Amino acid sequence: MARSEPMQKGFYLDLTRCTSCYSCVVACKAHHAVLDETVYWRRVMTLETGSYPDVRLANFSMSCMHCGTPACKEVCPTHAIHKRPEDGLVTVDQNLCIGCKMCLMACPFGIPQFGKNGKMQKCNFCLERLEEGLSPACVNVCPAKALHAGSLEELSTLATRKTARHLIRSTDPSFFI
Amino acid sequence: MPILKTFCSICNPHSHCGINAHVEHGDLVDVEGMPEHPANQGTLCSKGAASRQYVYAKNRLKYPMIQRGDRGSKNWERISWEEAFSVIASRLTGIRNQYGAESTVFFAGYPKWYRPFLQRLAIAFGSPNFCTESSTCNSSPTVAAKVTYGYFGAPDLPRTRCFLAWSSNPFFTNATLARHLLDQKEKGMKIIAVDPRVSAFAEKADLHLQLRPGTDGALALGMIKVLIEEGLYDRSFVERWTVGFDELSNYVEELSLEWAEAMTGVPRAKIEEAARLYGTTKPASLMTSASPTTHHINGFQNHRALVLLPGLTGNFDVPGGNFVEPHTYVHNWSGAPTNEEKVRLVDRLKDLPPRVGEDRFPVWCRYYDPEGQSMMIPFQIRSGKPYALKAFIGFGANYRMWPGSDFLKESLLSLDFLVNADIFFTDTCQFMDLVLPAATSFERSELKHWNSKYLMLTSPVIDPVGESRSDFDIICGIAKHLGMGELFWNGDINSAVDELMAPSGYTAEELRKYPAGTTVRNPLKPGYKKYEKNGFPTPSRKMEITSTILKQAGFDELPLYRAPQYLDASSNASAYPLILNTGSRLPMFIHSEMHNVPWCQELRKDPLLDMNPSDASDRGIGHEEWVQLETPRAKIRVKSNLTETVLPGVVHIFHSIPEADVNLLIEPDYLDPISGFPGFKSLRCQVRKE
Repeated sequence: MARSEPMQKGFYLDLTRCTSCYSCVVACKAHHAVLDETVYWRRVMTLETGSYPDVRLANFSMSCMHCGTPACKEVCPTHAIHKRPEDGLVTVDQNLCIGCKMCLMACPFGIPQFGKNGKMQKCNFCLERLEEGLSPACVNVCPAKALHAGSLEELSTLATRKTARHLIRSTDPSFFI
Repeated sequence: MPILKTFCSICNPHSHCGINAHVEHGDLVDVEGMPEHPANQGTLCSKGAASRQYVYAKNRLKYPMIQRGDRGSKNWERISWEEAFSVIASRLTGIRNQYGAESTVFFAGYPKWYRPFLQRLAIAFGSPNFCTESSTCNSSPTVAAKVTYGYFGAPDLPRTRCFLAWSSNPFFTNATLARHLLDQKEKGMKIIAVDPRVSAFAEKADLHLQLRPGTDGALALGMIKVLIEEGLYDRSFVERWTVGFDELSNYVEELSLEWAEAMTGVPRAKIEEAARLYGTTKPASLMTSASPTTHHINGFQNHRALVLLPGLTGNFDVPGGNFVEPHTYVHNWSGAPTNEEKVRLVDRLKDLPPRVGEDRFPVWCRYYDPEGQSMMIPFQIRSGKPYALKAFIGFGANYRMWPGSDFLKESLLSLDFLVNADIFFTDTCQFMDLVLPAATSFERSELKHWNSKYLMLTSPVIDPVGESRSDFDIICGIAKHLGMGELFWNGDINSAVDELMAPSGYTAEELRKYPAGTTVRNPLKPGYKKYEKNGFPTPSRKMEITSTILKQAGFDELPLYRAPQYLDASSNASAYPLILNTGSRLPMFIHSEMHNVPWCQELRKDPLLDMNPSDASDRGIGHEEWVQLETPRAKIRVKSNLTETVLPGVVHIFHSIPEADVNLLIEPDYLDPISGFPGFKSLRCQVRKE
């Protein structure tokens, strides 16, 4: 499923609103009960540019971008990574994963995480919430209303209002910024 | 899985988010923001999102415990609640008989919800000494505004067109405001941020005035000079409703904008631009913060200078300006009046001895809520003047809150009896005689008011951890064993709520019908420009630019600018060339809270010292290297965090980091002469590579 597919789900981060409050990061770990302190399915980074007195900050909240052509899936030797036909979400079957980290090397964003069990883990778009018609925990919690989830079509409409754009990379990430 | 309704009370009482608690077999398994709650509308901050690890933290206090043998010997013995109450009652009665009730200090830290009941306990016991962390928090700005206007108000947000945030980062301090502020910005509201750092909020401002710490007064006076000289002040308001305008005009006439620039480091052109933007965009509002402007030893008068801005520009108590709403309950204004003051028994204070600090800080003590000035506790313990202190009963007390925290700890250790009730076994608990396990908001029943005209009376949503109890139950238990059970509603929270809420016609029974809370019916509608009816509640009935109260107390009646001590030529500038700025908010912590919660703590594991790369390279210091942060008083080991967000010449560190307690570096008597507030945010220091 590529960017032309309207049912593909993804995220939109409104850079004009993200405050780097880390709510999304903690809500993600709490909801998925991620206890390993080095494992983050979602991360927040602040990029500082310039020097005093002209300093700019840009805050980024990033997770798996559920790419149209996921590089992680291409390289996985055990076919543990799957792209759902109905909504394009990229999931991992830990029973098949052998922890070789090929996916980490292939991912342009350094997304795949490896905790104590050595198996790949990452954002699954809160699938069980999706089934109940709920948005992912990170989006739901955001106090600044900066993070959005939805179909590419919905995200495109929101992003256009803010002159945000579909992120262009070879893997076709489902991410507007 | 049942979803039960409660709220998170980890941070300050102006925020506090409604929570949907997912509960299984009496255990909390997940939390989400409550969508129908007006404060947070389904959102949470990083602290609230970590609620499950907070509630089940490894260092939860589970049982009442008594320390046998020496304090700090870790010879703890679990005792029953009955025994704990008996010990407390018998020790307090003995101390009262020998030294007087006033020798016992009752202290409240965070959270704040039980304060009316704890003050009731102190006063009913016979002690005037109800002290709180507000002695270093919002009380100095409150009093500075009170001696000027008699009261103050928060930004009337949806209507304001220019938002001047003075040393406030509402994104982290009041996360529930974030979405509203960003919405208003998108609708064209201008934002001016005054902050020594490029914070996440300052970064989004239309204009950022990056001043040197402790120079707020000079910046405000510079802006006032522009407003007056360019005729941007509200002449009719000033003529009709102020005293002291001529004195202020004469004073700022003597000052130049070059002087303001030299003091503050803010370019003259930006001072002018800010004054013009704030002075011509109507309505405009001023957002102050709980304490940053007043954590300087010249802070009270600095704050006085900047709170003149709303009045001078005709933005006081008008739509979209600073709107004065009557306080209803525990620092909030829900529109539902209560009997809080009666419940606190403050009318009995007049018959009791003076409070701690009342002799040294009479203005603060008289014009803030009737509390003792906590900063004076160690000094009164040591001097025994005007009377001896012998016992300390803390609720959420953290000794590291004090400047020279070791000085306070040593002082406390000389007392006869030390008790702390807390959710966690903190390092303050470690040197107590007795510790009592307190419940979190998930495990207790609590009455809460929100400024968004909302009320909740919660019921516990999970089983208490260990034998922890609600602070209310603990206070009533102590009272009962002191023979005052009836005065404390025989421990029945519903009866207490009935008494508190009587003026607005709510009963506990009714409030319990709305587990998710309820919008206040018929909220008080105070209206704007209340001063037009009876004048301002000040001695002159006007806005006092020159303060009668300060003059009578022997202080400058005008907010004359006195430079921070670090600019004093006599201070040791060559040995300690950097300015140390401490405190402020990180999103995942509030003061000492959440450092014990892995999901928060792992986001910032090391004690980081924010340092401009130019200062670091002068010292051969790289990024994330261990360094010594030193003042004439002490030094601590911290890790460098090189960032352009802090001014060259200024370093900044968060407070309350247990392994790097920056308050050790500050003298305990480094205090503002009017408020008693510590100079947490402007002192000299040096940083050395290890």
